[in-house]
Amino acid sequence: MKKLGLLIPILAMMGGAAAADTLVLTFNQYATDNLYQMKSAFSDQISQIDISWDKSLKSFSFFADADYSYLRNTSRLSDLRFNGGADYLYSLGQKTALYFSLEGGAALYRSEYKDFNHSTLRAVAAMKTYLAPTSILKVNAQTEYRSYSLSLFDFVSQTVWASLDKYFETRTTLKADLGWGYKYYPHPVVLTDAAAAGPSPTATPVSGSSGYGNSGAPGKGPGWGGQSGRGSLFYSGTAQTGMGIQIASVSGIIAQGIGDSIGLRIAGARQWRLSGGSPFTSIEEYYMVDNPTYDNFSWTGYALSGQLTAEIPWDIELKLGYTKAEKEFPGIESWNLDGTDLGIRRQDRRSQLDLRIEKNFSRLSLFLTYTYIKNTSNDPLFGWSGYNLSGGLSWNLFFGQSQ
Amino acid sequence: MSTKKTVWLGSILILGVGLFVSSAFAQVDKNALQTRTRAQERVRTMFFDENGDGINDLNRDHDNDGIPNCQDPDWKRPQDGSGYKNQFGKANGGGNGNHAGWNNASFRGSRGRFGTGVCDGTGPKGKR
Repeated sequence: MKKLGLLIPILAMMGGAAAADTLVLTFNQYATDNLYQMKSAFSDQISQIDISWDKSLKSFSFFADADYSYLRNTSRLSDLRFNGGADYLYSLGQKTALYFSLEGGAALYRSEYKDFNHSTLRAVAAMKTYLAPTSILKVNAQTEYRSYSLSLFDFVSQTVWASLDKYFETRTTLKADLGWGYKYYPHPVVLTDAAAAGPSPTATPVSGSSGYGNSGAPGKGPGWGGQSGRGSLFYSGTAQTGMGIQIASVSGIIAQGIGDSIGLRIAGARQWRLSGGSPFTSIEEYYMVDNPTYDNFSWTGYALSGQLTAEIPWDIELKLGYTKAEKEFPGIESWNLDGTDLGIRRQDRRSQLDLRIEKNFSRLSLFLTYTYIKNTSNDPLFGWSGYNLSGGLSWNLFFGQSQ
Repeated sequence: MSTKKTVWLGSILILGVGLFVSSAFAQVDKNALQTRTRAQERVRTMFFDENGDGINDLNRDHDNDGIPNCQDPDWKRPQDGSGYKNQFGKANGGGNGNHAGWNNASFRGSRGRFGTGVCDGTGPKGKR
């Protein structure tokens, strides 16, 4: 029976591969000296294998993706993901296209991190239009619903962004983006019987939880909830009222080509919170692992970056980048290391150096990256520095008709 | 008419038709070549940079034969949009100013995106 269970996905994969227009196989290897991106560093290595499938039927297209990530030292954070959907492209004349997509997916973690297990439903509507041969306007609206094993993380979000590109014969690129987003958490508190506890974030942080990571007790090594040493990431209360956060962002890019093979880019982004706040007591960002407490809605602030790109012989691409970011986390207080609330909002400053080398063959793509990060924070738990190293290859099997 | 005369007449007829057809094709080739050269010249002066790195997307050479994609008869733009991994910007067929270059997959790269993508690169997996 077990063999049959293995055989079915293999046969489905082979059948799918035979019918595909495109099949992309990817293997990536990551190494970090600070998986949890905190003061106490835990190094780890992540091996990721991914298969992406695509089949077009005129304007309709079906796509699917599956990947497995294995963490060598923290295998309980390993995860398996599936994603699939359909999309439709509609051309309005020669210069404008509309795009619609509906997709669903799931992520499965091992038992200790089963609270991170989730299913996702996402709908996208987008438009791309050429205002001129060298000017593009893009608009994108996206609705997402995500349901977690731990309902505290459940959310519905809506984002809309628009971007305008303009390219000049002087090899100059200008890009500007405007974005807006709203994220709603329908179950942001742990229900308790404590009469004194008020609703939502004014309530008491939950101390200790069952089934999170290996810890149970705060500060006992790596693990969900226990990793921060604070035992909890939520508030408790007697009422389950939903809460939301609304953000807006503006960003831009100026890029200049120097000759045919060197490009310089300066980019900046600014993000504001328009209303609401985070329902969590702490926000943790893991390296290469989706932590539900951290995403684009978690912070306000700015990021500035500079990047040098060089195309060297044999079509090898080199990128050297530096990013400076300052982020504030609405609703998140800073604590000292012995667990006392400092009464100030958490603020982080991050400097990051990136180096990337990429080589593309007609069907094979290889890359290697190195990143060094220094993060300072008014919450001492999140003051850290470290590096990430990653490399990978993608093999693109294209079976469709060329135009 | 003797066989000998028939062979001569036939040969001259075939040669004449051959010359006429080849000259007509040469004219077509010449026109096509001029059109192609003009198109290449136009593309050479165009600048298109959808991924905003400062390098002309039209000048890249993905099959490494020394001829930029926009002038390379050997190079076929990937129709999958994700094409060569990590090259969403290059594979979406921009640069020709009409819809011939886009496909469903070229829009998929923007799923889950918010803002310019000025990111710190350390968080969750980039493709999500």
